Amino acid sequence: MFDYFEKFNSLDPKIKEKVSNPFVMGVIDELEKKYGVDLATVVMMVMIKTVLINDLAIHLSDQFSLSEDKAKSLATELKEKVFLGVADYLGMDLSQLFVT
Amino acid sequence: MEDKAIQFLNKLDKLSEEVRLYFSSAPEAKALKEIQTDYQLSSDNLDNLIYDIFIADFDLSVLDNGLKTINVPTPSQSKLAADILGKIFLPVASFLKIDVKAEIIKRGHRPEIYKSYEDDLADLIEDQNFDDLEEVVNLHESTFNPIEEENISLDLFDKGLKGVINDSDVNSITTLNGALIYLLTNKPDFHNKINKVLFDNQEVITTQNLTWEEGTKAGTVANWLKDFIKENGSDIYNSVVLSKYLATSPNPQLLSEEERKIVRRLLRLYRNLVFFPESMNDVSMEEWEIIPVEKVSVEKPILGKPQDNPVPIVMERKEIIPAGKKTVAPKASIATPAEISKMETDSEDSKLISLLTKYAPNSLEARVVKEEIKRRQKKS
Repeated sequence: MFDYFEKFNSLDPKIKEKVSNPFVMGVIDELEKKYGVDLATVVMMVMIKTVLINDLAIHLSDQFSLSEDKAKSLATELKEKVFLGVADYLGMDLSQLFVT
Repeated sequence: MEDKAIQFLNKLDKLSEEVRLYFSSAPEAKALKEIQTDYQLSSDNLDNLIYDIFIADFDLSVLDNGLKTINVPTPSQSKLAADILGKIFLPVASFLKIDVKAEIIKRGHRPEIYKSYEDDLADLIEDQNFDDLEEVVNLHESTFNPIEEENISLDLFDKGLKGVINDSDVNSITTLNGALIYLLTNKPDFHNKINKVLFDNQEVITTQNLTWEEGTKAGTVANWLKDFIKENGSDIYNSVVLSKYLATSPNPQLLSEEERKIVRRLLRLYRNLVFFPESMNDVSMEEWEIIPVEKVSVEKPILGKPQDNPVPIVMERKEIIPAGKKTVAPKASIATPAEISKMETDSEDSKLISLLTKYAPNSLEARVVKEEIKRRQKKS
């Protein structure tokens, strides 16, 4: 069926839990409402590294036809609020985060 | 007063096109006239009240102070305030990001009675857009030479594609897209010609070479297209396939971030062009593109209608494609093989539904399955 689902299921449960606990799901809910897009599949794709975390903004822009600004802002929020707990695992560049 | 008028004009000049349109329109002049007549106000007095609101950056509380300085009986003042707000500011409230409805209600009146003034602006914007579109199409038709454009386009795809891929000027890319879409939809042999030129292009777009079994190859347009097709086949693909190729395939993995962006842009161009018009299936006609346009926030040339609630103005690119008035080839249907039986579809759906029952309703897994079901429903 959809291979990314199988790959996600084979990840270390501790890693999976970091992006699928109720708190993070609430954050994803908020971001989905704010940007009007579905994000669960994107989160899964990033977790199995089919979408590189450092390419996230450009992927969001392609996938949802978002403007560059919106895609960048959504990518930053996802990195700060969803993926921060797995930053090492994803090889995330943290230098651009939390810049006000 | 003269000074205030200048300040008002300076403020107005910096506002969106929709606001400027309304404040120089017949409906707004009519609304002003109505208010003057109903309250026996001089045009100077009324203008003054409006200027004050502009100068105060749309702090609507200044209206109440202003009303005290003019000769209107106190019982009529709240209705006058509501009329000024409803007839003059409510139509442009969403563009100014102010909650005029709440201000009217606060003064004890009903905002819905001013709906016709909002409709007047919506009509005005529609007329203006239509005039703009007609002007662009006429201009395009009078200046567009298909033979010349075809030669220029083929030449560009032969020797100037690297420049096009790196070009971030939205206007020039949009103009080129308009010409390409016109040629693709109106010149039957153009599609084959330009595809061939694209696949033969020998411009080097990455310093990183490609490594294949047969040896190392330069990072040319043609070689990157071959590499992608080797990995993913020659069918139309979606953005997930593209991201996966760039993230996990051997050659793109070695690219720097900057060069990966260039290859991504080339592959989006390849998809848009080679699979046109199927590649534009999910895109509204005014957003059709062959060369990918970076969707940066710029002032949109098409005026937006006023919205019910004041929200930040969304300034995404929306360009008029001149070819829109021409004979446009019908969009191809989604590539669903006819032989796929409904039974198989049902069986796939039931697998998804059964998968859904295995996970907690709000889990990431359940949401992914729901998104997959949604995607399948959209396709069917």
